Order: sequence, then structure tokens, then C-alpha cells
Amino acid sequence: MLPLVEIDSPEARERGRQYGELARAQIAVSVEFYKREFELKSGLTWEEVRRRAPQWVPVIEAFHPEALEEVRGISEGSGFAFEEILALNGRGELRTGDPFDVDGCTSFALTAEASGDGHVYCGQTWDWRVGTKESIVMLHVKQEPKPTIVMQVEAGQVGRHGANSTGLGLNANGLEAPFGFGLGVPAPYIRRRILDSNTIYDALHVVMEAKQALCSNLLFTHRDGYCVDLETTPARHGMMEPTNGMLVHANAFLAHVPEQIEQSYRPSSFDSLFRVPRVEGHLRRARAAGSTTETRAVIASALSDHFAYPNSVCTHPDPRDGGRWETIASSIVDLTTGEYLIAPGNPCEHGYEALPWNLYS
Amino acid sequence: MRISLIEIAGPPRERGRQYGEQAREHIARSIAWYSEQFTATASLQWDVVLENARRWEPLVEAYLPDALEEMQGIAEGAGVTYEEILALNGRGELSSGNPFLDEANDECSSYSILPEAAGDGHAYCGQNWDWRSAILDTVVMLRIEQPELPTIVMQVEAGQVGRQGANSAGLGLNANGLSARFGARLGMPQPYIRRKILNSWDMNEALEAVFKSKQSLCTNLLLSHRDGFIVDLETTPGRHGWGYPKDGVLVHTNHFRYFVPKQIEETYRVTSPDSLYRAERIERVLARVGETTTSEQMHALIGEALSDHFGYPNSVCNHPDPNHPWFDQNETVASSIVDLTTGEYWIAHGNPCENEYELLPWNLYDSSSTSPAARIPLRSAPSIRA
Repeated sequence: MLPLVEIDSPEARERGRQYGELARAQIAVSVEFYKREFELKSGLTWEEVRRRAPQWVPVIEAFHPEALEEVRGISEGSGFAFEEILALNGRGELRTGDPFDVDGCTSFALTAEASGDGHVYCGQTWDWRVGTKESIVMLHVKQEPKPTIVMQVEAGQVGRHGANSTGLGLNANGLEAPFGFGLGVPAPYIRRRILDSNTIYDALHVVMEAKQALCSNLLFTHRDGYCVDLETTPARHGMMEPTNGMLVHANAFLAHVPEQIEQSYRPSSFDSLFRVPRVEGHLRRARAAGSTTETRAVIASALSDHFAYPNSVCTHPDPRDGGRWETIASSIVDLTTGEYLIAPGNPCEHGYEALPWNLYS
Repeated sequence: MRISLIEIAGPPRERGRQYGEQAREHIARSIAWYSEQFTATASLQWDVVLENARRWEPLVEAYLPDALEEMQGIAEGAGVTYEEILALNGRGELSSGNPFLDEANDECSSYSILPEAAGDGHAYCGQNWDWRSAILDTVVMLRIEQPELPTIVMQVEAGQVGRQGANSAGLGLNANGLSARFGARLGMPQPYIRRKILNSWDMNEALEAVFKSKQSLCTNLLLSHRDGFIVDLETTPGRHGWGYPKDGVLVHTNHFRYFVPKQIEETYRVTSPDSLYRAERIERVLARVGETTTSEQMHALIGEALSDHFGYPNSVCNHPDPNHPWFDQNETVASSIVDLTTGEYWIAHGNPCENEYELLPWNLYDSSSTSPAARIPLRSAPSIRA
């Protein structure tokens, strides 16, 4: 099981402090990893990153001031500098020197018509760099009067993917596309505001309003049986609806190709071309599953698929490219019952276990 | 067998020599044909082609360096110059440019069938390869055994290092010209891209070969895998489009079906109008693959699709059109049925309406090389505790 971090306070600063104290060890792992990573990918030394990170403050202040307070609290609780926690929350934006290296993830949503047990499911594999696995934690955020959130994050981050107590699930996948405008709102704040939302309207509104620097795919699933996929960019967003109650997305534009890159677009994450149909192929069998156990087994088999191993849906390090990638966590969220199942690494090795937290309690 | 079989093995230079020696006559015929044809279709004199052929070298060196060694070997074995072999491997890129002609086009019809759709539960792929009538006798079947890489079986014009075929890793490749021109002038010729695909151990490597190439032509590449996966790629010098099978079957001919590149969006028209009905005709027959129960019936059904004469002579089974000039006489020079499940490779040399499909004496999976991925241990199946 992944480390479980529970924070609970109506005060953002206090929540942050709790988070920082409880996740200090994992934050240390993350800081060490990204120190090397940023220098390698964008040529920025850690000193330079720390010096420039405060430029994000006004941008975040305007978009999600509470999350900024939480970042301050995390810094106090963990003993790491405010700028360092800011950097962890801007890691996607700080690595864009290398367009051939985006988060590889495969996300899915199943609504009642596609699942044998009639439940609404969402989840994903989270494929990221070898060396980050020890930095991830499961975070439970109680923040009255806002919805309670359960999510998987790299320690120190205020948002990534997860679900909340109003029955909203959020899954995310990197989309590489080298266009946009300089300083935007980093992805963790956008995702946190989505999961802070009380209604699907508010959640979608966040995406339409955010001025971001990166492209990112966001899959929204609601327990009432709604799902939609948004390919978000600094400009236009593309949109995709489910087919027969199912949505699957990876790291290549499927709903649209942004005009800015239309002449030349080739996904660097070309494995998306088989990851999506492979997962779809498995999930089509979920409809025939006779029970919740069977339905979840079908989903687990989809997320553990080994076609084109090791660069498969269930990603393993490939010695041919230096072994840089792996599935660091995988989730199956039952939005109907509120159960959150997690595999702390490759699902083929770890299997899925239910978190001790129910979304709705 | 009607078609010439060539088997080569060993390091690049050595296997190239074997290739050149065994295909010496075919290569001579190919050079004789293209040295005249480029003049007609692209206003290119053969000596100008040879003078410029080495300009491809640095591109190939960066992308598929072993191919250069192999071509040196082919030239030595066949007793021709290295530049001539470079030119044969750039024939698609050299075959267009005359403003008074339709673009020269490999007018092929490709198909792929998923095992769950086929009556016998096998994965199939193949195509009609429609090209100049004059090159019929330059076509050979090539089997390449190469250290550390999958074993390849493919149909090529003699002297070429890559075209269409399948490999011992269960990967099939079929290809069709897409007659649009824009973007790069000097780019990676198709044979190298296709060879790199067939050098791949898995779908990820094959896609990498496609997505990391800088090519000058537009080509459709149909990739199939025996584990039941098909993706079709409309590749261009810029963006690539892609699509998947419907009801377990995918057919592609010579026009863009998934997108129209932005660069030609305002003016794009299909240059080979027969492409429109060839795809539909094959799809119509292959819609019945689920009704078969045996592999013999599957072969017969695929053969029926590939022998279709609707729109004759510009039909799926393509015959020369007397209304076209001498250098633009096309016909089906080879037709293939590849069973990726059993490893059987069937070929009809020439029009399938007149020539039987013959089983090659090589099974795809009769190979001693193993994938590096096979050496990474796989763990147990997932469990759920809840």
C-alpha cells in the first residue's frame, strides 16, 4: 500500500502544515529527483528554479489562493523552502525542455451501461519516471465546507488525479504540444480546483477559465453516469464523448489536433496508438461481467495489459532506452460505492487494494 | 514456385553480397527499367540520378546505418555500382515530378483481419501490389536472417532493402502509395522506413520507426500483429493520421481516409479514382470472414476479394490499361495472404485471377533470434483485494 496522508482542517495553511509534516520523507525524495531532472531536461539548476519560482505566485494567487496557502503550509510543515514546494507543483511546466517526455498514462471511464455491475468507474495507470515511485502518497483532504478529496499525488503537490465526495472523478494524461504562452497556471492547481468543485458545472468551468501553459488531457467522470474527456491546451480545448458508455484516453490528441500544430503533429508518445485500443478491447468485456468482483477483474486486466511489453499499458522499464519509465501507480475508483482501489506500482505485480477511506463517508 | 526465392543471412555486408549474387539478373532488369522510366516520369537522366544518389547517405546513416553496408554488399554481389542500388531504393521518390503526368503511384490494396473476426481465429494481412507491368520480373521474395533482429520475409523489387512483408516477431507490414506531395524534397526513402519497421520486435518499435522518420513522400502503412492488433497509418512529411479496424477488418487503398493534411486541404483530390471503389469492394467481400469455418475457406474468401474485377482493368485485381502510355502500364505484380497466426506466407506472382497463391517454403516463425523484451521477466496476473 502507498503511504496514506490524511489532512483535516478548514484552514488551508494548517492543512498544508499537516501534509508537510506527514509527507516530509516523500517530499525529500521528490526534491532530490527533480533537482537532477530539471537540470537535465530544461537546463535549470535548482538555485535558478528557486529564484524564478515566485513568478508563479501572482498567477496562482489569482486562480486558487487557498492552494497557495496550502503550499506555504506544506513548506512550513516539511521544512522545505516555499519555492521548492512551488517547484514541485510546477514540475510539468519546468520539464518542457524535452517535448519527447510527457507523462504517459492511460485513463478510462465506464458508465453504468458499460459495466456489468451497473456501477460508474474511472481510473488510470500513472506512468512516470523510474525514481518517482517512492515520492507518491495517497492524500485524503478534508476541507469543510468544500468536498472531501482522495487523490494520488507526488508528495508536496496540491492536486493530481483522484475523486471527491460529490461523486466526481478526475483522471489526467500528458499531451505534448510545443505551443502556448509563457507563464500559465501549473496543472496541479487546475486539477485541485476541479476536485474542489461541488458540481460538475463548477468543475468544467475551471477548465474553461484556466490560463495554462501546457496541454493536458482531463477525463471527468460523475457517479450520476456522466463522463466527458477534454483535451485542454493553452488555447482551444477538444472534447470527446463516450462510445457505448466508455471513454479511454492516453497521450495523443484524439478529439482534435490544435491548429497551432496541425501541419506537423506527430505524437511522441506513439505507444498511445495501441494503449487506447488495447484498453478499450478489454473494457468492452466489462458489460458481460456478472458481479462487481468480475467487473473489477476485467478493469484490472485492461490496466495490466502487456501488449508490446515492456512499453505496454502496464509499463515496465525498458533496458533498451535505459529503463526510464514504469507504471508507478494505478487506480480503479468505484464512484457508485465510493471505494478507491489502488495498485502501488505495476498492477500486474501488486494487484489492487481498497483504500481505508470511502469517498462518501 | 513461380516467384524467385532469395535467402540471405549474416552481418549486413555479407548478407548484402548474398542478395546481390542471387538477384543479379533481377537487379539488372530493374536498373534497365528505371534508368528509362525516371527520364519519362520525372525528367531525370540516369547519370544525374547516380550523381545525386549519395545525398541520401547521411539521412540513412542516421536512421538505419546497417542498410548502407547491406547495399554496398548488394552492389558487390550484383556487380553494379553502389549508387545504382541507392537509386533503386529511392525509386518512389524518383518516380514523380513530370508535370504532364499523373503522379506515379504504388496503387495497392491492403487488408488486415483480426483473429476474433476471422472464421478460423487467425490474424491475416496482405495486399495486392500494383505497379509497373515491366517490373513483374524484378520482384523477388526475400528472407533475411539477421543477428539480434527478427527474421523477415518480404516481397521487394530486387535490390531494395525493404518493402512489404512480415517478421518472426509476428508483425506484418503492408503499404500503399498516397499521391500527395508537399514538404521536404530530400527525405528518407520508403524502403528504409519499411525495413526499420520490419526490424522491430514489437508494435512500439514499429511505431517509433514511423513516427521518427523524416520522409518526403506520403504513404499508407498498415501494421498488423499476430496478438490481434491492427493500426493503419497515413504518413506524410508532416502530420500522420491513423485509424483502426471496423468489425475486425481494415482495408486501405490510395487515398486519405482519416484526415486530409492541412498542407493540401484546399485542393486535395484523389489522383487514382479507382482507389475509391477498390476499398469498398474488398470491404464488401471481407465482411463475410466470420462466415468461414476453415483456413481454406478464409484463403478462398481473401483470394476472391483480391481478384475482384469491378472497374476492370483499373480494378482491385489490376490489369494494364491500354489508354495509358507505355511507362504508365500498371498491373498487380504480386498478391499476398499472410497468416500471422501460423506463420504461413502465400503469394501469387502476378494477377491473382490468373495465378494461384503458392505457399512459401519459409515459415515466419522458423527463426532463432529472440526479442530482448523476452528476457525481461514477466510477473503474475493482477489480483483484487477489496
